[in-house]
Amino acid sequence: MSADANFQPKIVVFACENSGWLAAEHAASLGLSYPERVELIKLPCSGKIDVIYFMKALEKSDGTMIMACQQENCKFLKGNVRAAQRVRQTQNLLKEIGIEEDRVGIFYLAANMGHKFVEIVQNFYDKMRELGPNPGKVIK
Amino acid sequence: MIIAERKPIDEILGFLSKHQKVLVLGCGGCVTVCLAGGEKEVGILGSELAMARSKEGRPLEVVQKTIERQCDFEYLEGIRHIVKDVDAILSLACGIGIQTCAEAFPDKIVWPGVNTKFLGVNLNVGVWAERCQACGQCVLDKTGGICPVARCSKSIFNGPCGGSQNGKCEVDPDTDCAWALIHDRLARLGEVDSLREIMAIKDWSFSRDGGPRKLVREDLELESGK
Amino acid sequence: MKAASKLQRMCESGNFVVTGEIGPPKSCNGEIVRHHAKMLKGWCESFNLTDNQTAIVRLSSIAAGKILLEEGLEPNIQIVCRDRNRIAAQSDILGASALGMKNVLCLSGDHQKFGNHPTAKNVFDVDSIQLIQILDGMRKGYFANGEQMKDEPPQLFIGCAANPFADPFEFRVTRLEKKADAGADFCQTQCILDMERFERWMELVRARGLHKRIKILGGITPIKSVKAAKYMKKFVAGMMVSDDLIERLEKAEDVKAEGLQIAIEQIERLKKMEGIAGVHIMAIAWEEKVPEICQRAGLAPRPEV
Ligand code: SF4
Ligand code: SF4
Repeated sequence: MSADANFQPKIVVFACENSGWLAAEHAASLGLSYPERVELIKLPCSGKIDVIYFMKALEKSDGTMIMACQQENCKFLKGNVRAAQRVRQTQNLLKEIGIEEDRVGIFYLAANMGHKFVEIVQNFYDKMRELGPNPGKVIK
Repeated sequence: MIIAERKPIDEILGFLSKHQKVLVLGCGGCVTVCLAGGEKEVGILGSELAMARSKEGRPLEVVQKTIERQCDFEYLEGIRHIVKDVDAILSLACGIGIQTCAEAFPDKIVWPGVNTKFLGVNLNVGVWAERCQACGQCVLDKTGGICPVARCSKSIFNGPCGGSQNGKCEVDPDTDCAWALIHDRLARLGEVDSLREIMAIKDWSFSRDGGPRKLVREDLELESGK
Repeated sequence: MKAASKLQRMCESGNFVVTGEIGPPKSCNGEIVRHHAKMLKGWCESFNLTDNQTAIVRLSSIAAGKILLEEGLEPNIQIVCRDRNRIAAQSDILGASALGMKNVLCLSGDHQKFGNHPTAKNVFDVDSIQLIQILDGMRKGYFANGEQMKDEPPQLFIGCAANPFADPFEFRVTRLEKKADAGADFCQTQCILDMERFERWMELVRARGLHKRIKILGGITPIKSVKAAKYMKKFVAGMMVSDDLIERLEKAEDVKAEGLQIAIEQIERLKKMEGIAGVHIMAIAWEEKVPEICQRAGLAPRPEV
């Protein structure tokens, strides 16, 4: 548990434009809100994510995630499978240098799931609050 | 191509422990293709190092750069201005690139960031296998294009030895017996009888055993370079 | 010219030949070699002394051979390509010869990965066939580089191994032929635990007339337990164990007695097989049974040649 009760994590969310990104728009249209220190980055497919993006995101944030289409539902067939592999690879790197592997994750949802989007972001945010600031953050 | 693998992070962190600012230097050649030391790996390692050191509370400034080829003095010339400002260089090139880098910058500490493994081929995603040991006097003409020096665990020339079974090598059931491959390929080509002839003892002086090798081609040398 | 080795004389006499094997210890205790020598003296023409077998450091085969000579037994020095380049191999041959050893068996050698120094660098400057060639040259008075010896050449009776149970099956015969071409005088086979396959191999050997060019000694290893048989079948590369043999051992009340009985029957069979010059008995960690095997298989006493 973070010692600092006022700690507001910074989070970078990579979102596939066929699911996560649309779900974010859906959430907005429903007037749902989520923590403000969340940066959203659009990708043409979750398969576009790479270890290096996660690592660069973590240099300046407390947690990062990829939002991908639900299993078997990737427009490019295997994009979300690749994304999951890259999450695992990033987790291994974090483990190597003693940083909590939970600071990177993958979550699946569909375009019409505005509520789910907010729920995922909020849960992840809460989790990062619990973990506290990323000890490896380079750009503070 | 030359196959390399990045060294474990702890080993690298150990090398860099006394530095405050380092250049992580990638190479656009073989190590880019085998995913050990190209631009992307430089980026990932750069983040990993910076984060690890931030966590320790001893920040490390990481300059990241990848050049066309590290085994070429010309390309190394182009980064002299960057090298000037760092404590040390962590080279992600193969052993040749690392040494060329050290030779180009005699006043800079150059650390190896990869283990250079072998000369090989990419068989599958994430799988590489050895193919040649640069023995200096190629015998592929006699062995159906399959190298007994690099691919037979005992580098024998009149195989297969008595440990070959079901096409696999006695040393490891996952490794093909090179001599079984040679035999089968020559059989397919109708040339298997050529194996009845004893291959004579090899002249290893063309290999590393003759001391460090150097190749000089006078036809290519410039007058002034002589 | 000095007298030929007893093994050579036996091979040339047409008598059924018997060779044995002694594994030197993992220590400098020569008494262990001496003990085995005393136990086995007179039962075989000559005894192989393994050369750092399975890549485990042991008392040297040439030093052990010297102990055998002292005890009045004839050694057959094994020499593997794993640990020596052509310089060391030739030097050792000269040394062994100076000490009075005449039989030499050339082998590639087990890879060091299986031994107790897996991080060692191996040599394999030459392979076993090339080593035979080198020794053949040496006894003719030439070093491997073609240089002529200034003194009397070493007198050598050159042996090799053959494994009828490795692959590719037909090429195993070609490989024996290459060894004969290289100059090998005799060959000891991998231990026979699949007689049917061995017979098929011998058919091919005879079809090429190889048995007339090289003396073939069939490898005999008495099996002590069902577990050992199964292990060899499954895990030892280049080894075949027939299901019949395993079944016989499984059904036996006294497995060890059955193992000995099988070995004796195999010897009887080899005695009748065309092209077989003798047997090579490898009673691994069971040396004390060699006299019994020889006696019951009608191999004793050894004829004088
Ligand atoms: S024979 Fe020599 S040069 Fe040819 S592939 Fe093998 S190691 Fe390389
Ligand atoms: S099994 Fe084949 S590859 Fe392995 S050492 Fe023997 S001949 Fe060489």
